[in-house]
Amino acid sequence: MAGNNFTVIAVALDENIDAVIPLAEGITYPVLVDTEHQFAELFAITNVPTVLWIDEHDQIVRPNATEFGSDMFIDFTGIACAGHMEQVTDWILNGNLPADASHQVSGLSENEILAHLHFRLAVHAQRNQQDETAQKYFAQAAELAPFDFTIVRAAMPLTGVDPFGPAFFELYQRFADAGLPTHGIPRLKQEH
Amino acid sequence: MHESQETTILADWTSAVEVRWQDQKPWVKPSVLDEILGWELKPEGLCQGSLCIPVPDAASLMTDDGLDLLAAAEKLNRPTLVDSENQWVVIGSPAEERENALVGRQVPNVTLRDLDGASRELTEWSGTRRLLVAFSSW
Repeated sequence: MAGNNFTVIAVALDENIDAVIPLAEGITYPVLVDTEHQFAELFAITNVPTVLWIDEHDQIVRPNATEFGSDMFIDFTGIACAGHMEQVTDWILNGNLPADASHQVSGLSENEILAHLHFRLAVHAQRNQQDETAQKYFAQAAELAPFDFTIVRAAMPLTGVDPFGPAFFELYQRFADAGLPTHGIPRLKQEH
Repeated sequence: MHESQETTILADWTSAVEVRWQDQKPWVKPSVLDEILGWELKPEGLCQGSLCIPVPDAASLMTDDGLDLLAAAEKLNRPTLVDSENQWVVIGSPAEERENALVGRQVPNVTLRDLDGASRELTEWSGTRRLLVAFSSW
């Protein structure tokens, strides 16, 4: 859909740009990195992949939704992006928005906001080789926002835990048991 | 007056400023508020350019040790977290900015990095429809 005044912008919720570079190899659209964890905080993004539609006037016309905006992850997830891509095409070509576009995203709770602040301190401590302090703040952040993957799962590789290993599946199970709490269009309920 | 110590402030950007720590709370010279947050304390209140928020009890923000940074952040509806042992302060986004994004649906002013480490903003692509895809290495 190039030429229709449209672009994909990928935003990596990563602290370390070097961790993103291999993932961006061969990608022709812009890839940005949320090194200070502010994108996730302001948009109330709690997991990846999360897709938002932005119009030419900087308005969010369809908010946070779990979608696969490209096939970048299809080998890992097995979820095709075709349904969402049809909707995107209809938006770009005809200006049509799906019914769920009007969904009101709930704001982060006070604890979830505090979790972001703890996470930023943890990353700062780690950048200053204060690993013990970093661990303390990562743990406090996870307690404050137990179902926010951008906090709990993002901390895994930073604390020596495999984010694709048992800890992730335990986290996902707790998240599912809690009713898949999200700030965004509740797409996962349809998928499971 | 207390001894001042260099303190790292993580807000919309990271700054290192002289802070007087008193009862584990950070106090700064009023003139550095601009460097930390892009706001200034003026007679008419807290100001960013021509935009001013009146602060009726402005005097309460100030002591001999300077400006009460946490109280100033609170006036701007920004959450804070302090590590007085390491002299670190984190100042989160203003409540209005989160509200503008989620309810007003306006793309917030957030600085991201590109893969070369340069600062980028989402409004650079104003005039273009965008599919923002949040992903990660984890």
